[in-house]
Amino acid sequence: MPFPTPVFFIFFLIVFAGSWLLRPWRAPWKLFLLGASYVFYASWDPRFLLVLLNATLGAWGAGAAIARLNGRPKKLILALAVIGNVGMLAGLKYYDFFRESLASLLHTLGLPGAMPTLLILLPVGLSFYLLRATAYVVDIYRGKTTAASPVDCALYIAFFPQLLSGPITRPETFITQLKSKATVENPHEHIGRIVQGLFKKIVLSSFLTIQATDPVFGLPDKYGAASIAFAVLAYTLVIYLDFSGYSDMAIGTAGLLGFSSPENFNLPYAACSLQEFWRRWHISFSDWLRDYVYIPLGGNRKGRFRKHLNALATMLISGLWHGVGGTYMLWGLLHGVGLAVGVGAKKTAGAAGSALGWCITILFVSVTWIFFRAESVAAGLGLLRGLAEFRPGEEIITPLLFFVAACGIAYCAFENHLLRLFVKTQERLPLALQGAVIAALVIAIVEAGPDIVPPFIYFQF
Amino acid sequence: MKKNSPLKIFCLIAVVLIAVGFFESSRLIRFLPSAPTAPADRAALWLARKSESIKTPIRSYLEKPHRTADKLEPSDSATPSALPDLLPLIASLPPLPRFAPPAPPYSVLIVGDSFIAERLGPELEKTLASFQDVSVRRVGIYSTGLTRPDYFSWNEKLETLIAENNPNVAIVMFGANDAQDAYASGTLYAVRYGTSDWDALYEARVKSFLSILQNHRITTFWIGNPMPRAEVYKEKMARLNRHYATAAAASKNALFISNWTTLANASGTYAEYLPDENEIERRVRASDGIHPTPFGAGIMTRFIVAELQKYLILTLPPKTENTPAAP
Repeated sequence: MPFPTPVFFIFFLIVFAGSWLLRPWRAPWKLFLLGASYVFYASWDPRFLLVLLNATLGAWGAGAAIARLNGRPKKLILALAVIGNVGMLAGLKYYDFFRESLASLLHTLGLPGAMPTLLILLPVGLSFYLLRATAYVVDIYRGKTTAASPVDCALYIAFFPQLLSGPITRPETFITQLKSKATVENPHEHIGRIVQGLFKKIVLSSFLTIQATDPVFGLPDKYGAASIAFAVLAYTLVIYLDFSGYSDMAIGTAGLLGFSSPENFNLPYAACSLQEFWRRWHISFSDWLRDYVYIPLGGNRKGRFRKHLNALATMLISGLWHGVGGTYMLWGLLHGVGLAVGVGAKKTAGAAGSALGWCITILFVSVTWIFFRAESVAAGLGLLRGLAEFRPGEEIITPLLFFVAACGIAYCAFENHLLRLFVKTQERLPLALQGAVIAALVIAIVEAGPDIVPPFIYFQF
Repeated sequence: MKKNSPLKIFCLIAVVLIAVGFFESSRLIRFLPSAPTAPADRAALWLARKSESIKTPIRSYLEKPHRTADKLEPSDSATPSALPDLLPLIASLPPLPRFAPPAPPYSVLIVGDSFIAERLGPELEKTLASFQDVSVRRVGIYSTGLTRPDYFSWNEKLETLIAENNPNVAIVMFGANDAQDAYASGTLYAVRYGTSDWDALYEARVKSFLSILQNHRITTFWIGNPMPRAEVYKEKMARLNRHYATAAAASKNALFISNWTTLANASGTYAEYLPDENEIERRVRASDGIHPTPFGAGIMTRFIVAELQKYLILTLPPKTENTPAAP
């Protein structure tokens, strides 16, 4: 039941009605939202619920124990909870990678022995809800939040608009909202965010994915330098449109249920340095990494060398979190090194310095996306070689593709203005016309989109 | 009603859903399972079918009458037809004497669903394109097949691709999305999967697809589906493979290549892992138990190319040696 499907919107309408009807009665309302979230998650595979329940029970149990204990036992419980979450992620997501890597190493060394093969199904959204479960336990340990009731804790971890790919709300922020008296603030903005997300995903991202990035990244050797360069630019757009489109829909649907969510993007490709890029890109995850990885490692408190080393370690962990294999690790490593050397950091003041910083940053970010998307490190290097050698080959660029990419760039630059325009227009219209405008926009999006919309990129993580 | 009241927003969303559902009803029907179990699916399908029942008489008044060539009566029977000859038929059938592959150069057209769109398709394209006198055009489209031409018409797409590429060899692979209820053209009722009507309709569609290739004198290799993990899919895939084998055997210049046990273990049963050249067990199936991993795609490609080499002259180009530049 992914977001841009008719079934999801019917499900959402039912949940919307139930949620606002039950809102005056706090306990039934929370149980209703929790049940809806579990129904939503079980629609992928009911077995995934067991993993979600396990993560929830672990977090709630550890949180309750930490709240009661002091000293070393408290620290021990925290360590066990964090290790449990990391272990669950490693076991379900990385086991095969570890097994194959170890077997290859043993084979190279001429040693016997191997780990057994296991049939493991990777639950969708696992990486995201484990981040929330970890944040819950650590924040109780740090005294930033108090231990919540089992239902509040379960709802924080499983709240369906944010379950699969965030944004990663902090426990205190979310649980406070469960206690407050909610109203639907800015409904036109929330509806506008959903429509905007649909446009980004169904029209722009899908078109560029199908026509440009999938063919070139699928068979890199076949295409010439111009096509490769275009596909890299297209993927730079696609990953933003795809993920920010998802975030728009998540924020919009949560908002209509009376929950505010943190923003995930703030014009990231306008950043003039890599550090600024990470303050604007996947913000809720970047903040999570800062608070739960970078700062515990020492942050920038232990000298310049440790600061760079901590940034490098944090980005490597970020790469690993996205997936196993050399491509994600290399992507994380490159960003870690980029942060350490200060890619795009302004050396000269003024417009010229900013422009230079922007050019270097966007080039660095686009080129590193190659490894994020490539099937393997060798395939990524092949694409870079193709670019560097101005290799001739098949070309994919058509006027229509060029036009859609230009629309994508323009949309990225003006999306906030367009959203404001939508909200202002809607506020002036009577209800019937509001519905007509939204319906016309959605129909236009569906008609302009391809028959088959590729899945969200971040669902695989 | 208060400004921003939930009731007002509910009405707004409901009106938008109904309007979009009405306008996009045919697309909705294509996307939804034809026998839904989930309440939201049922509601969406009910809305879409109601919309279609309102729109159809208007449409037929405005447009020409629908084709009725392959219109079938609705079937009440939901009993799956017996499949006693299932396993013998999923093995490759020997080519008929009239199977006469062309001589090089080869212009190969690879078409199919998600198997062709990713992993297997690109790997196969890359390998075939590395041979001398072989050019390849690959078109793989996710979530498509031959059951739902109302959703995506592969026959129409094939005609366009043939006109554009003028191939003399075609490699075809379908089935991952085809074990579902079908819609005969011009009708709104489903032909239930598992019935003899469905078998007849599906086989007719496979033959119709093959006849386009046959009319253009294109030698066709129809790749069967590999054995999936789940028992329920196993029966479905085997049924589909049987239709491909039968239709290919009845067509001129078409050959069915069984792929059923390509990713199976030594005892011929489904395998999640297979050993590589260093005897390290590597995953060959994606988490869905249907599609291959890159390693599995490599095994399938080697098998398919070896099968093709029995009928096509596939030779690697001579290695170019680095000769010193003339002074």
